[in-house]
Amino acid sequence: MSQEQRTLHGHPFFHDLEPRHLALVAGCAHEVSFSAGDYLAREGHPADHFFLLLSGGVRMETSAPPLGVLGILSAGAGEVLGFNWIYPPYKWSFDYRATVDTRAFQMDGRCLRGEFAQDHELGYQLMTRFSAVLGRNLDATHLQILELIHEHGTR
Amino acid sequence: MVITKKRREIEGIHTFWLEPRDGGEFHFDPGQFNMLYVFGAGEVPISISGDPGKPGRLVHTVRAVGKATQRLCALKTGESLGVRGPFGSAWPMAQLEGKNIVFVTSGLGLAPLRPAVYWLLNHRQRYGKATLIYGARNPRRLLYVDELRKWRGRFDLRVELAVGSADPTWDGNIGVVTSLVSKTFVEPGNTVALICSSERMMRAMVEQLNQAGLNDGDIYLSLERSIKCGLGLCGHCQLGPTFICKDGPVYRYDQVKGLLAQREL
Ligand SMILES: Cc1cc2nc3c(=O)[nH]c(=O)nc-3n(C[C@H](O)[C@H](O)[C@H](O)COP(=O)(O)OP(=O)(O)OC[C@H]3O[C@@H](n4cnc5c(N)ncnc54)[C@H](O)[C@@H]3O)c2cc1C
Repeated sequence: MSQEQRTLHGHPFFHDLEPRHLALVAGCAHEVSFSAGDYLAREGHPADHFFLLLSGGVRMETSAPPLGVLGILSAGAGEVLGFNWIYPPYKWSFDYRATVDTRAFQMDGRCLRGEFAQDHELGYQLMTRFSAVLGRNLDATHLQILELIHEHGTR
Repeated sequence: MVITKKRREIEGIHTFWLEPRDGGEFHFDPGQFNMLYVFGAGEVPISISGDPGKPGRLVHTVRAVGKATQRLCALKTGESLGVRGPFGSAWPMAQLEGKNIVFVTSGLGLAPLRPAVYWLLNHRQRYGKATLIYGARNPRRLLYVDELRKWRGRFDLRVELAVGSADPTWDGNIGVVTSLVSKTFVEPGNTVALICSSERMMRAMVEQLNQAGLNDGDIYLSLERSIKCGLGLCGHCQLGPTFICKDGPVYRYDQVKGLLAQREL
């Protein structure tokens, strides 16, 4: 196993991926680092990749006038960021900004889609993982909406 | 009792310090509540949110939601209100000695939990590791911020905060409070969780705590249902076979699990 594959294997998103699949996704990965304040992605820009965070911290933000820039989610080591590469129009829905120095694997979506076309099992493995993350995010969002409703005392 | 101090915590939520007219003491256990009577507006159950080690002053934090709580929140320093209590069950602090304690709460849920945090800090050496996980809609909606800041500065209490959204000046977690349970290492085995929030949020908190390895019997929660008499007589707060005002509001989760899951009661 290459160093890259070992690091990918150490990330919770890929930790139980089979070695042959790990080798395929490693071919679509490259390590990147960002300084505090750098943007990993900008809203509206083409989204052809996602990130697996290895260290540091990233905040999902958007400009919400008149409130200004609002952070709506933070993520740290072990988390996965970015889903827009999966579905058209393949554009980032939010800004992603490093809040501290951050290391990540940038996963090339186009390269991965190419691998999925060859190996459906790999596609299934990845999409199952993404569905779980998306499901958890959606549950969390619904809980936050319920808290808002509760706080306002309306049903 | 007389209101000797009043503080606006956040919009719509005020904290009151009350003292008996005769200067006596008011003893209570963490987690208990009082029935507060506002003249002409009715009586409502409100948790005691002060320090059980300082019985000279009674502290309540109140959110204005309806007739009684709105009138309560409009009261000023020097005015009086009626107090019946303390009522109900308590966080079983004595029973939990030797354990690691994790408090999980959001919004106004910190008010009923705060006396347990005070208790733990007053008897710090009797407990293992202590963690407070607290969430709010945004940084301006966090209760007791000065105290949270002080607690964060301690070596013997870990404080983890999450807000739903924040401007760039906030450098903490953003997200739902339950996500902090999985991010914050909770050592199963010798850990007990005390949780307080809306009922639906508490079910999500329990799920996360279960995933972190805590059993249902290691989780205590405080339930808020409509309470009228406070004596287990009128039946307003009946939840299956139990009366929240008398047997609750604090329960061990496995004792009420089946009742919370029910859609209609
Ligand atoms: C054991 C216990 C401890 C409590 N501790 C506190 C406390 O520390 N601080 C505090 O502010 N409140 C607390 N409450 C809730 C408080 O008792 C109610 O908010 C109060 O009874 C509402 O009375 P009201 O006349 O102001 O409003 P009502 O006229 O009875 O209700 C007005 C509106 O508020 C909604 N409402 C009523 N109760 C609640 C509630 N619990 N949560 C959200 N919306 C509600 C109603 O659905 C209605 O829409 C506690 C309740 C219980 C049972």
